[in-house]
Amino acid sequence: MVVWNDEVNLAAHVSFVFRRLIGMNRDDATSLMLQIHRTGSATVFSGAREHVELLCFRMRTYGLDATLEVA
Amino acid sequence: MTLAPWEVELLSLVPALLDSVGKFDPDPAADRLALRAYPFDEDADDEFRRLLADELRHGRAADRSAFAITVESGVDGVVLSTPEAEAWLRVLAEARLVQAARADLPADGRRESDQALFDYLSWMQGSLVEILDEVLP
Repeated sequence: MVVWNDEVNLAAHVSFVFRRLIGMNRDDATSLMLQIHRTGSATVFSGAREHVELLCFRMRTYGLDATLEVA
Repeated sequence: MTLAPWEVELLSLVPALLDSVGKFDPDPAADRLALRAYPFDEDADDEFRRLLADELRHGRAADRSAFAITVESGVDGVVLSTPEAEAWLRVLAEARLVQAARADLPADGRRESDQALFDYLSWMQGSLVEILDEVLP
């Protein structure tokens, strides 16, 4: 699952969503958020199709621009 | 949380704002809020939407309803449960995205009040995230 940078969502909100939905610790979530902000996108999770689809859905309900790619 | 009357007034604009998404064409906000997952695979994307469109609709309705009800109680002081606070977060995030997506549309003199709402929502969302973040392990 890829999350794309957007200029609207608050940085703290994006980090929180990573913590809340993927269980990341604060440092990892912040690093990931910054990586997305700097490079435009990042792969934030990989897994079985149903799992990532649900995760992608939940991320999008928090306003994150998450999409899926087949590895 | 206790909300001043002006805050209740601002926050009360949010449900209608979200309801308006997709009601006129073109609406850049509709695109931003659209359910999608596979940008390069139309069939997979259609299937994704088929599976989850109802859940999205129900989830949004529940979130917005919880939001509207708690905003109304805000003047007397309201305690948000964690699920309610997370619903607020989703509602506020969407509202900001809608406003930002529509920022380039003709504003008919509403630009200042739109900005005031956006800034307030940003502040409120930031505060909520701070509190919710403390609750996480």
